[in-house]
Amino acid sequence: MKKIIKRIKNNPMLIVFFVILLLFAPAALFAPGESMDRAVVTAIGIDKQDDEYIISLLTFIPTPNQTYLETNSVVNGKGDNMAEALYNAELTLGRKLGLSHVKTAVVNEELLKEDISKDLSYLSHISALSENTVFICTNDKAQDFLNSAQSLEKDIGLKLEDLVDFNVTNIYVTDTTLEAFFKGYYSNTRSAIIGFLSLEENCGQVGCAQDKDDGGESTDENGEAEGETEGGKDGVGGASETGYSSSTPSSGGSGSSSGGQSGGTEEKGTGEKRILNLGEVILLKDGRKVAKLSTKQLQGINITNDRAIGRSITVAGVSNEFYNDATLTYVIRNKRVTTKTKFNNGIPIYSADIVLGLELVEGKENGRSIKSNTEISEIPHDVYLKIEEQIRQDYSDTLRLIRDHKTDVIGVMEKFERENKKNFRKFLDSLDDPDDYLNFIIFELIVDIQSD
Amino acid sequence: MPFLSIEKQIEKIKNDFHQTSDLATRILSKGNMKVGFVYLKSITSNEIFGDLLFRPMSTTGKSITLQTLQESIIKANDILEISKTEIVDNIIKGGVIILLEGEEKALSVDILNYPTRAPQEPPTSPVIMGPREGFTEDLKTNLSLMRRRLASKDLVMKQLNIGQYSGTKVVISYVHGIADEKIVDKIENKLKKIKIDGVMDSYYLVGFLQEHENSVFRQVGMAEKPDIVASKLLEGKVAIIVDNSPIVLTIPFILFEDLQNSNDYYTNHHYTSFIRIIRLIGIMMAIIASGLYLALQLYHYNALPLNFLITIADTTQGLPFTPFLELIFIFFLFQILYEVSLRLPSYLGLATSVVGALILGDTGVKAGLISPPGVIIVAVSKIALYLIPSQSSQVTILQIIFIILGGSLGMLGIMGGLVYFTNYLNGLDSYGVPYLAPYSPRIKNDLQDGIFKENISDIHTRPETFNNKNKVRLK
Amino acid sequence: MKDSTINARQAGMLCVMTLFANKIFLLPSLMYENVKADAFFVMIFLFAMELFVFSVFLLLKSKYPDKTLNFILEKHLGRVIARIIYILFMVFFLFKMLLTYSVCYVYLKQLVYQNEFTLLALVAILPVVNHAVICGLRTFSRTVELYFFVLMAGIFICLAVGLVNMQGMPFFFNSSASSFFSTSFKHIFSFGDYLFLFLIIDKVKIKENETKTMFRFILLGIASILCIFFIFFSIFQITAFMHNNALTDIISVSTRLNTLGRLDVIAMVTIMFLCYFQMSIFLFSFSEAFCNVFHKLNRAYSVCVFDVVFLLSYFVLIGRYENMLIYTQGWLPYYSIATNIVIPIVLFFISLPKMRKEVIYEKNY
Repeated sequence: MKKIIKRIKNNPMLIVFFVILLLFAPAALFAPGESMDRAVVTAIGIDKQDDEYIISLLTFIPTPNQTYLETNSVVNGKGDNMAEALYNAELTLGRKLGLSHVKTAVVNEELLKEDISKDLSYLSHISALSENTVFICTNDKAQDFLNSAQSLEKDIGLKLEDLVDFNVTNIYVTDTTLEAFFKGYYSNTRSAIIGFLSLEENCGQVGCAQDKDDGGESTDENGEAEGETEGGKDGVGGASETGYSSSTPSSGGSGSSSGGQSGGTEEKGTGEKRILNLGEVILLKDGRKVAKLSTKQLQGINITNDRAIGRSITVAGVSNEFYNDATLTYVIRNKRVTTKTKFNNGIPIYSADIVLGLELVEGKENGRSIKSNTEISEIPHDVYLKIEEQIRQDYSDTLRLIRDHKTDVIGVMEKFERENKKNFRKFLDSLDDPDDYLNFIIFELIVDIQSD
Repeated sequence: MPFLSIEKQIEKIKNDFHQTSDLATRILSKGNMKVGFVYLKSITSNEIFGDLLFRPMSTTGKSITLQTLQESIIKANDILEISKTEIVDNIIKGGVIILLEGEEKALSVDILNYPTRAPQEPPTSPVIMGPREGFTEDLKTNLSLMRRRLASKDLVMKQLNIGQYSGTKVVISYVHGIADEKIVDKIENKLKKIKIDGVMDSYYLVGFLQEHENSVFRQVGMAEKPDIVASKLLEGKVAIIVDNSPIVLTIPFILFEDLQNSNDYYTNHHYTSFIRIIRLIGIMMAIIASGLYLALQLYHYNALPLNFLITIADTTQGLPFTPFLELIFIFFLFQILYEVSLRLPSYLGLATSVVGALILGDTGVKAGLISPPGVIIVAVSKIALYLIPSQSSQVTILQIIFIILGGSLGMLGIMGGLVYFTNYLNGLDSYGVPYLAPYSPRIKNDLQDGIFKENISDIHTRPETFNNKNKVRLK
Repeated sequence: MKDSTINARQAGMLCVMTLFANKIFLLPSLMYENVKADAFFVMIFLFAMELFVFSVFLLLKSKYPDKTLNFILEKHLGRVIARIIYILFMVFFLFKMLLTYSVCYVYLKQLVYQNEFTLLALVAILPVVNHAVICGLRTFSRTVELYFFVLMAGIFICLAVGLVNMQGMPFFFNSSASSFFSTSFKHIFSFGDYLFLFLIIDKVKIKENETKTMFRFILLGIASILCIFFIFFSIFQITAFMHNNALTDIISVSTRLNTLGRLDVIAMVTIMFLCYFQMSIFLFSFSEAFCNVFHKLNRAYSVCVFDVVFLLSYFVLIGRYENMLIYTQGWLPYYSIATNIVIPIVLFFISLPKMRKEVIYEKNY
């Protein structure tokens, strides 16, 4: 005993260690793992019905000898507010919610009729939930959307977040996360863009997806070479429905992603609805939806975004010394955008100088495909003019769009605030409706096209 | 003191040895001269005795006196003239005592001979390319191995005898002019103060030489190979070579020494740097992997990447044990298997490891008793332990502590444990040398043989960490 | 008695360690609410004050190379004032520790444990910190030295990941001078970390040219915090007020890299170590001040007293973490004026006369 006391005297940390052993170890010894205590949520869906929130959670409940996909399920919770709905979902599950791994939050388009930020602010206060969570919107019930997302993963192994990630990189060229939403929402322009994935009734026919492709014509222009796009569709067809054995189930993985890009996406499985990726986005002002933008419109918005490359531009009816009534498709391989702001007699001028590096990827002449002629290194002048015209047209369409909706998503105000703050403030003060400032700014566009 | 007859003298010696059966006595009568021989036949060579002593004496024509014996008759080298009081000591040390009637003094001839093994490669520090000789249990062999490597007049060997019954020879060895004399004196004083019945192995002395006696962490270096000890002596350390032990102790000791391996010095220094990083990571993994896994499972599911979480959750679901119990169960199972395989003869050891691997790796998991991630984590930390075999006992203790900390307090407990133990180790200055040098505190000069080792041609000085005198090692 | 001196390098490292904690989780977003991205300049301003404290320390050190602060204070200001200053320091560091502990606790609760874990946190933190202080300054500084570059690497990884996600420059020069100074005042309690240097003035051994080493470390610390602020504001810009855990949020905002795994664990581990070290420095400073007020009591005693006072004030006075924030922005700034500004100025004047004498000395010969 004396020896023990002496030892403890020499090293008082021994007492602490014994305290830990006595106080905490027994409890910990018989504590189940946290993963058993919690339902790991990977996606959240928010719906509203009769003033009641319905929160759907795509949860994963570990079960022995079953794979992750087999144990995924969508659970609901209803309540007058978000907190209550989440609590009810917890009750249904009989486990604590583990929100650390939430990758996606989906809201029903209906919710966007009112300011969505107050609903989302609850989510942003949950510290476990990362602001990095992908935030997208759908046209149908978020609950059904999650079910379809689950089938999507089960059937072709495409995860929802990967699909959105693909869109973000290649189509949106802007983040569609809670963080990005709040950033737009709290900015002076109070405008934000969020991704949109539609949920369609599954008609059970291959043509269903094809129809959509044709309908969403704008999407054809986006992305890579057509050959690849088509391959993608095939892949999707093969992967989407096991019944359609006629489709070639080749290139399953790549097919799914290029399919996502082409517009007529994958989806589907046993559920009645399927996710359709048309590369659309929702334009929000003050947290409310003001418009749904097609891929083409989105590309217009992204003209002044130098990260937005890879888009194709098609010029028809080219006749010159090199071609005879040819249709040429160019892809933007690189882009350099310089924007400047200045004031001329109190009138703000926003000028954008765009330098595009284009690559001819496809050409058709008299219905025959022509090889890209390496000797024609320069873009012929008439083609140059036509491309420039197209870009200008896109730009003016975009300007009309953002002026109509008073949503400055191309960052005009920010640019003025940074470069000409005082003048711009003065200018805003001089307006009757300062929110309508876009209508009083002169936009200039200089396009320089180079062959890449 | 009256002169006793040879018989009586022999009888007295026999009584001193409590009539032990291995005490051989012989009386040679040469004319009127009687010569008595006393020796312990268990530690002496009969042949040498016959060839060098008995035969020459019985055949010589000279008169037998102490002087003639020493000068011409006996052909052995180690002849000592001793007083009667030293007889017992010399017999124990393997000498033959030659008693002449009427002489006050006696002669002791060293014909010590006991079974020794030839130097072999030690099992725990083998090298791929490099010297393979290891120390043996024979002090004389060990000393000769040292001398062979350091053929210098400055290599000093100081011999002491420790142990009331064992009388073990202990040699303090150092290079004069490099080692700090103060440390040598300190060690000598400490050794001289030891009043123990017997010293069976050099580890018996470790407890006495450490400045912090009850510490989990060993503060004395251990080496099995003469090349390692020689290089340590050249760094200014002091070696303690103990008879009957193939392990040589070196002092002062820093933790980093265990991260070094003799192989490091016989291979490309770039590779050495790489392998030292691996060792460091390995040993850290060995210490905290199990605890961290437990902490993540019990408290921080959120810190695990989703895919890993899914794997763990799926495999641990439905186990009869809680994570803590499971880990402790696997841990003890491994430890038992380790102990068993250590004790069993090698052919049975193989069988145990097969059974162990089967039981643990497969059946246990299939039966739903333990989970594959748990087995992997414990196995990894147990294997990583043997990256540095000489630290395995300490690290095992740390593993248990960190499992308890991780299980009870989570990640914060593990980080706290790391800070605590680092503080503790930093407080372990032994013989004036900081235990975690050259990193804590940083000793710039010594970093050249730190985790990143430099080429031997670039290391011009001896480590500053140890208070050596002569700093220059390469001009 | 054990030799407890530390070298300039170790002192420099301690200076870096003492800067973090509160400043890398909550402060950026709190400041953003007041002065937007100009918080960056508030930080520069407040760091300038820290540098003043440091230079006073160097002046004092050059005048009294081996003397304790107690000796200096008693010599110039008398015993009573010396004691009062020590008591001021004691309270200052007690509340510093309370702040660090509360912020750290809330951080760990939100991101690491996701549950209340009051008792567990106390058991995991207090003994380790106590042990560090009892081990002594030298031992503890060596520990800091061992982990220093690992921790800095952790911070730089977070910064590097943040750099990838930077979205243009933060919006600077948006706030008025008055809000600038009021914010500086409001958050002054989060500064004044270098005051601990005065308490260990006799224990720091600065050889010739080593002032530079120390200064380099201090600049490294300040620069890394400013970088964190800059990157934080540049990444989050308008939403900076929503992010209470700056360092972790910088790293977790990266969508791409997070698919690899949870990189924020790097930030979590770094922060845990930083908190341990910072709290140890504060407790050491408290204990140093305590031992100088009550000369007869030793360090172990001071640590015990600290634990009792700490627990009492944590549970009785503060109770909730929000209260601590109210204190830090309420009465503690006024208190900090005394410790962060008045005491260094007084010490500055104490360190001055010698310089004057030197001038006369030179003129005479």
